[in-house]
Amino acid sequence: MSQLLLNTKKIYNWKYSLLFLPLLVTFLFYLFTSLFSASGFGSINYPLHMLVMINIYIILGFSINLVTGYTGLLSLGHGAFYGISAYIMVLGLMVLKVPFFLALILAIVFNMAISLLVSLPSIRLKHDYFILAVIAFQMVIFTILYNWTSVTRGPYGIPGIPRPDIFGLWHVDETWEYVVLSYILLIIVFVYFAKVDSSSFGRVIKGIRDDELVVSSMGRNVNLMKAYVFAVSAGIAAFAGALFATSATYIDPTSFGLDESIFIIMIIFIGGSGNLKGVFWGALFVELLPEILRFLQMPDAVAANLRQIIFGLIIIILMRFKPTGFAGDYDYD
Amino acid sequence: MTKQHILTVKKLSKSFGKAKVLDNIKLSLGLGDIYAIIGPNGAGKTTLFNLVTGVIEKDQGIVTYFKNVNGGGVRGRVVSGGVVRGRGVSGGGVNGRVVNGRVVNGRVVSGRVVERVEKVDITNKRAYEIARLGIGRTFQGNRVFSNMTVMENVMFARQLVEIENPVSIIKSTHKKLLNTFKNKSGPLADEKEVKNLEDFLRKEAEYWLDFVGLKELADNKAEELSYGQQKLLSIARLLMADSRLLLFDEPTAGVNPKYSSRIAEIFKKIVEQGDKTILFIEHDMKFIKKLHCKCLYLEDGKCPWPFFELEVIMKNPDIRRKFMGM
Repeated sequence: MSQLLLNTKKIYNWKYSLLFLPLLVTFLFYLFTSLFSASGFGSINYPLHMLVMINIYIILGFSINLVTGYTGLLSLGHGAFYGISAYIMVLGLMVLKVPFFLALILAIVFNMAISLLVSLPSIRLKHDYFILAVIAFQMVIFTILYNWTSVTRGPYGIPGIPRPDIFGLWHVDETWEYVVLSYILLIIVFVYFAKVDSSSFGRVIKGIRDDELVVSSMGRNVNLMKAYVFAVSAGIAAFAGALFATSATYIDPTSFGLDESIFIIMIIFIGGSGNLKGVFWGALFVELLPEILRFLQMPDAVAANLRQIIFGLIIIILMRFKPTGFAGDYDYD
Repeated sequence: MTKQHILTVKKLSKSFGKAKVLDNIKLSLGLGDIYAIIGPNGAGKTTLFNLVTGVIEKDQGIVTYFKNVNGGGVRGRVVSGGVVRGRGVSGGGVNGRVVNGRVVNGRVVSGRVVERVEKVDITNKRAYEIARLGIGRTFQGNRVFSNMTVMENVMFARQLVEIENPVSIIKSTHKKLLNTFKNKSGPLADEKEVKNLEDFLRKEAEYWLDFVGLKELADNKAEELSYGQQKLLSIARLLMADSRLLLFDEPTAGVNPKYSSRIAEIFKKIVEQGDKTILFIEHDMKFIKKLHCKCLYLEDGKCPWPFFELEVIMKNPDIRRKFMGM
């Protein structure tokens, strides 16, 4: 039996099972809410849409995990990268009229370029000063998106974003198709991270998180590594931005403010950072909690505020009793 | 054959504000030897390490490192420590120093001959550039990566700059790189059964963990090790980095006599290879005596004498009074 297990392990890497987790949890959630709901089973589009959002937040979770969880740079600016890529995506699809994947590549490259503009001057800053620099960047981007009305339409937002068309072969329209698309992008990101997790690059960035001085004394250019990490992280956030813009078909700057950046970082604070599984648990938690509150039939206004309060409380409790998050490797204590 | 230098320091000075921490330091280290730095607390010993390794900037002075430029493979008879007389693998006679030589019955069966020695001015180089040249160090305290396993701590140390970026990890250059590394150096240079780079790193890390006696703890998290074990881990990590000049900052501080003896044995084994030099800061005179090494006495940022045997230094009544309190 043990030999059979070993052989199976050689063929199939069990960490890939994590990809089934959102699907399974969403299905169970739908099942339970339907069983206990007076109206019985509702539309399947509701859990499918939830699954798309969960996948978007898992991708964002991986993006922030690379910077904060693996490298130890606390970034409160990922909402900005998420937003920039969503707007670039819209620019690509609606103005340049390029296909979905070309617009996505454009968003990735643009995000990476912007990230270098931010990281190169700020990467030498230590601890709190780095955090402040990134928050400042987040504020600047939000202000630009909000006030550059000739391009972004400011607070009115951009409606009617076209659905993705994949090489003229597949027009993504239905919610289940978005689930498939989100899974394709998630698998790309996940496979990359599975490689990072057990690579020399992964060990070096974890080393930077633990002790920068030792890393540079072992022959590594720490500043260059940080710039790399920031750029790749911004590039990954573009996957999420592209998915969000095309699935919501409407974007406005309020979706990409500082509170969104805090929300993104909560994924790894709650789920745990520095590994693959923490991101999944964190994204499931932050996405499902409001749905659970909705299930409790609280008024929307109260639920939104309550969500913030509950998140705040959870962070305090976690930092006190489980600083690694639910399934993390890294202790922020 | 005259002794080859590995590092020379001339007129090195450093001040922090008005306090002159190091003043006109001069020293010279030979290849394949062990040296100790002793002196009272605040004498500037760690600052000297920090200056040599580029952790802090120098005010003035010149630091020169003598880098080996390796030639082709060589086989032959060992004449004296590290020097081989024999034939190059591509033919022709060879009489010179060999690095990473595997010696069987007094004959080098594999290794690479040092083609020439290059002088490199490292005075204004950054810490990571100096480390890449082959100068590695440990720090006071252990400074291991506590969130990583013991194995990961050691695997980390091998510099694979070619693939340590976010793009190369998705490329399949690992096999090509593996051959480069196997040819270059390390205890597994001739290992045939290494499958890929990760496997190579793992096996080499296992070798060094075994070398320091921590192989059984490879899968433990570094933070779970005792203080003494963490010291051994930081030594294994430095050995994995394949540096030629190894600087140890108080290697036995806070370590029990058993581990202290083990560290002394490890040091002896390292220099036996002939192509590595050790410089360490130490307060434990018994440890220094075990190694029979030359010592540099530092006091108030100055070194009044060149390297001497410990017994000679300790005969000086001034040093006995100031340093030993006798």
